[in-house]
Amino acid sequence: MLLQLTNVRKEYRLGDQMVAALDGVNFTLSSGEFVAIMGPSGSGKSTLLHIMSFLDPPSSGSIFFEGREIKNFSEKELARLRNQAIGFVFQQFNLLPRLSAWENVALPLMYANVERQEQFTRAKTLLELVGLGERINNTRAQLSGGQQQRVAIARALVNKPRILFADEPTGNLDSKSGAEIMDILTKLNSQGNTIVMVTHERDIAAYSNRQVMLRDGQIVSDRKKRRTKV
Amino acid sequence: MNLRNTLKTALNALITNKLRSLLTMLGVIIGVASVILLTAIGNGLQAYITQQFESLGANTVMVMPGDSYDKNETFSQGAFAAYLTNKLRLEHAREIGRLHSIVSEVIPEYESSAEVVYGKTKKSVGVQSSTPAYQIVRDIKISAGRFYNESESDTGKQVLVLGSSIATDLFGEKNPVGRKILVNNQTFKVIGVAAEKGGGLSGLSVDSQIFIPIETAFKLYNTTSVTSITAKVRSKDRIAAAEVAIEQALLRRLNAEDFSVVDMKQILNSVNQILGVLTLGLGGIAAISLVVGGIGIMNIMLVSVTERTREIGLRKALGATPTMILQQFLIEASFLSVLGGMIGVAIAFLLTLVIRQFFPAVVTLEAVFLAFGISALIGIIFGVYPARRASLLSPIEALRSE
Repeated sequence: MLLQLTNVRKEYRLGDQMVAALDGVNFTLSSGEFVAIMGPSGSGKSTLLHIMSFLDPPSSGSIFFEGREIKNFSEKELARLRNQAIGFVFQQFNLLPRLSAWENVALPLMYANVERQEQFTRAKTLLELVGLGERINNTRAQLSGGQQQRVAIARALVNKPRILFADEPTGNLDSKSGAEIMDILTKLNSQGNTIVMVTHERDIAAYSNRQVMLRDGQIVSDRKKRRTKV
Repeated sequence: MNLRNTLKTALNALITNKLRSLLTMLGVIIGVASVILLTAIGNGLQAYITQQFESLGANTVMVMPGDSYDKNETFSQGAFAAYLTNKLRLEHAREIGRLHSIVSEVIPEYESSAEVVYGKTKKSVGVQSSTPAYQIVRDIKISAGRFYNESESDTGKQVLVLGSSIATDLFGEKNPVGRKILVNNQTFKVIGVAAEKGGGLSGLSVDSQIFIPIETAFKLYNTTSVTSITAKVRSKDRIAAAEVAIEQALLRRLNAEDFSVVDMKQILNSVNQILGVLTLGLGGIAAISLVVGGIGIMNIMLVSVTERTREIGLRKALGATPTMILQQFLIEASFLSVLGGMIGVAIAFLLTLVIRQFFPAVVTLEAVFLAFGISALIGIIFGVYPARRASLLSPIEALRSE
């Protein structure tokens, strides 16, 4: 078992009321899966993804990563997990505007204390993998939305993570660029990468092999499927 | 992440965002420069006043008409009335002059103003009249011609010495010595020009006065009274003795309420009182400018770092620890604060050079260190504090901030 969530709750303060974004979620993830988390907006799917990827702490409940509970992890150990164990692809790409494509990809390597020459080589290899070998020196302004998201995927992969998370990876893209991104993710999964993705589009979910439905902060269905799109 | 990487990240962030770096630095530059400049102007003012009073001579004793100077070390309100019933005469100065075992020079003075005319140029000037010893007691240097002598003084010859700026005003580049000018419609011969004393705030300067013999002034103004008598005491520690001797000598000829003996120590006490208030005021100015500069720096640092909360969230999501974030922003803030501070000091020095053309501003080392130190400290604290706060948020909380 790669990742396990037991009875995870996440509450927000809204005015003087507490609102539960996640209301007792149990979930296990095995190596090699490609999971699509679905549900209407406000169902808590993004919150779930953030908690699974250690970007936001749960209000209560337990998270086990490779058998170790992360509740007692220090900030430093959590940073190490974010750096080494996971890769995260944001809906808004989140590239630093003034850095070149390869410098953006190399950011996690910098925090992993990799030598600059090695950073460049690995960033370049990954940018070639996502089809941007010609644009390693472009800054964000010189890249289209689809290209930016491919840089973000390269950045998420650069430390060879155990799990790749993606929050609406095609949400800000036209359908053609979206399809290209999904092709890359599918290819990565077939090479053995574990992927968890949030989407509200059936079309996009169809690339996955397991679909989890969320409603009002609870999992209402969890089905393994054969991939219907390739 | 090692320090070299952090250093590179921080400097890279500064270089790639030149405008933001420049604006942030500008806050520090203006803060530092304004504090240094304001204190430089204040210190210059203080130094100027002190110097002017010291140049009056600390080892002199003055005799003023009337009971104008009471023993509470401040001028009483009757000062003006005392001048109207002035009983001080030239003979009293001679009386004091007999005390030559204790007094080296005695000068009676009569001060007034006059209109001088040369050709088509007309000027209003201050008139200082006395005896030739005036030149020694008041330290007047002569740049052309000579000062008036005993015989001219005793006989009331219509000769005069021009202050340097009035000489230029009337004669321009021409040599005034030997020429005739009109003083209140009387013809006077210019016999000398005083060297520039300088440093004067315009209007008050001795450079725009004329010097004439006292008997000449008596004729010109139809009077026999003197405005004051100044005695130079042979040594500083005999000032008190001189005061007593002068008082006794004068009491033989005048009533006690007709004159008062004042030493410069009393005047210096008043001056020191003024200077004390001035120093306090300057401290206030420096403090206010430090606070204003500091708030400017604080604001721009807070804004520019708070604006980067999302960047901090992203860096954390990619594996940066709070310590790494802190190091990066500490380096950035230190670099901007120190470089901005140095530029601010340099600008303040340059501006001081310009100001010195017309005002004696003095940059002190304390002001430089204070301005630089406080500004850099504020810059670093408020450059790091919001980054620290953001680095303790979860990556998602930081990324969500607007």
